[in-house]
Amino acid sequence: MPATEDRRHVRRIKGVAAATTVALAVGFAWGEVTIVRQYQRFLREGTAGGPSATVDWFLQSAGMGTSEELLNGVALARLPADVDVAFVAPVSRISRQDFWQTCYVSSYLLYPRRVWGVAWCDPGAETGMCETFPAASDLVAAVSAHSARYVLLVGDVELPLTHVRTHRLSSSLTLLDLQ
Amino acid sequence: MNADISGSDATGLVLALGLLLCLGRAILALSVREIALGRTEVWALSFLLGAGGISLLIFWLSPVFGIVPARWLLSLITVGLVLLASARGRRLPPRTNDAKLASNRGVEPRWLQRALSVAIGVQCAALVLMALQTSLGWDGLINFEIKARIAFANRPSGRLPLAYLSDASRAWSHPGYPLLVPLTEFWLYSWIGYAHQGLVKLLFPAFYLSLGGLFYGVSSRLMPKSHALLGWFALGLLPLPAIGPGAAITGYADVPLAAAGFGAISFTYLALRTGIRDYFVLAALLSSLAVWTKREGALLAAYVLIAAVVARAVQARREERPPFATAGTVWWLLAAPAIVAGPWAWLQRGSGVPDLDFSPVTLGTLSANVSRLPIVVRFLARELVLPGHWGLLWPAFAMTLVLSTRRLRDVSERFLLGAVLIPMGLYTSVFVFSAWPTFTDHVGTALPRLLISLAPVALLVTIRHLRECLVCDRTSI
Repeated sequence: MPATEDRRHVRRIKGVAAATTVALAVGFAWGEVTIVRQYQRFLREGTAGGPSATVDWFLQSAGMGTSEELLNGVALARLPADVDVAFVAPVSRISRQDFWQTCYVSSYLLYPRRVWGVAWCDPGAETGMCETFPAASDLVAAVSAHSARYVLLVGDVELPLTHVRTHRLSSSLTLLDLQ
Repeated sequence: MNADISGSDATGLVLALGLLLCLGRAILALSVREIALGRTEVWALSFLLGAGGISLLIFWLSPVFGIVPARWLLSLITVGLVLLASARGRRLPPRTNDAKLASNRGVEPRWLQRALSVAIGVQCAALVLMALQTSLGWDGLINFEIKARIAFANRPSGRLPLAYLSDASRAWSHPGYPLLVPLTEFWLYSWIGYAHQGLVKLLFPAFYLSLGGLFYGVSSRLMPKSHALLGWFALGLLPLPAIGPGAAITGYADVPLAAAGFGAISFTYLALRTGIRDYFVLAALLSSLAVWTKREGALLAAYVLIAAVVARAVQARREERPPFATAGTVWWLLAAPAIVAGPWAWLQRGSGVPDLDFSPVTLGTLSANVSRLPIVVRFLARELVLPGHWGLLWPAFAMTLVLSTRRLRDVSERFLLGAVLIPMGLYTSVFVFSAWPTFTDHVGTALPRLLISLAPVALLVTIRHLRECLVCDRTSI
């Protein structure tokens, strides 16, 4: 390549590199603004940093009380350690996200007990709601399928299940003994 | 701060982290003979190797925890390794110029280095504050911390019960995921004395600091220190690794994978450029940590191994040597990850818990779902240009590739470039096998986080090539 062409080529490369560097810097500035705004939000909405901070945050965001309430209630109810528990909620009373989130957090807290999520397609459910969970219409069969002797019920509803005892764990959670 | 820390909690935390760092330092001293490592690199590698070493030892030695409690056994091993490293006189050599790469350095004002160091310090302090201000993210709780808690609550403490691996009621917690993060969290719990979801958050800014330290260490071999510091600072300006899902403060494994993956890739690159054995050893250690951190780490480790073998063969041919004359140095990249992955894979063979996220990889699944690929590629393209996630890193990365095509004749440069593009392609393709009812939900939640492990390498390539283009002349292009 002739020398003048070389020089033009070098200038072009430097020009494009300079423009790219400027664009990169602008992008980083945008990123920093995004980060600072999010940090401000964290400072405003900060969570307590205690031993159960995270599980409490997830439970309380779904209106389910605290982990301490759940665990104290389970201890008072003398729930055995090696049992299957059905986590039941009527789909008309809870969102899909809150259902599965609270089910998994309950499973986390109740370890080593096995917790199975059973969304109930209750009579109050709107058309199409049951399929999104997915939810069972026959609650007795769904609970029996997991050999669950206990039910952790979300909300204040009458279930079509024969139970011997109930234990109120919190304003939102009740433990039913099916034996 | 909201960390709710007592004096004994703090003491336990300091002891746990101190022993972890000592173990990592000892492993580093026993592994590295020739090359000089800077102080920042030493701290970064000590933390990473310590976390990997502690978690692997917990996993391998858990059968004997009924005889000797986990924290005492591991503390004894740590002290033993420190004494062994000291007895062998394995002091890390002082930092000297790496002759082959030194020509890329330059003279720069110290005030700039100090200013950037202060800025990086402020970034890191803010990260620690935010980690204490926020809860674990969803995956941080139900994929990783849950395993730490189960191991802690089990008797003997530290042993993950086999029943958990086959517990269908907890299949959503992905019992098959590798255990670096959960078992490092358990290590903290074993010294604090109880599970503490606030204090355990402090691990994750430490992983981010290790990533930054490694980035600086590698970059400063290739460019002036102030530019390397600028790169470290720029890393902290990427929103997704700092504050998004999978970020340095959420308790996910993406930033630890980014640290291990960046180390494996960049040390392999340095090994290919210099031929120094120690770089291959460090790459192998970090590659095995990547495998132990996330399943995607196996893809990175496989790329590093295969690409390094090919690159060494190409170099040997150019130097007119037999193609596998240098296989002796590369075999570490196979052996180390295999030693880590093998026992874990064997343990899971009998677990019987199906993977909820992916269908089996068969031709039938591929042919049925190949139509997903254009959708995933479109999603990836949109993600790469989101300034609220990545600034303009990826468009700049693409532009530097166009500007630097001549430099890509060097096989080591092609290795580095491939370390971004090939895993990106693999990560995109894997969603063809997604088992989620709505696979686009899976793409939306997972794909952005997968890019976290590739972003540091992309940033290194971008900064380096832009810098070299800005100072280029007729002879260098």
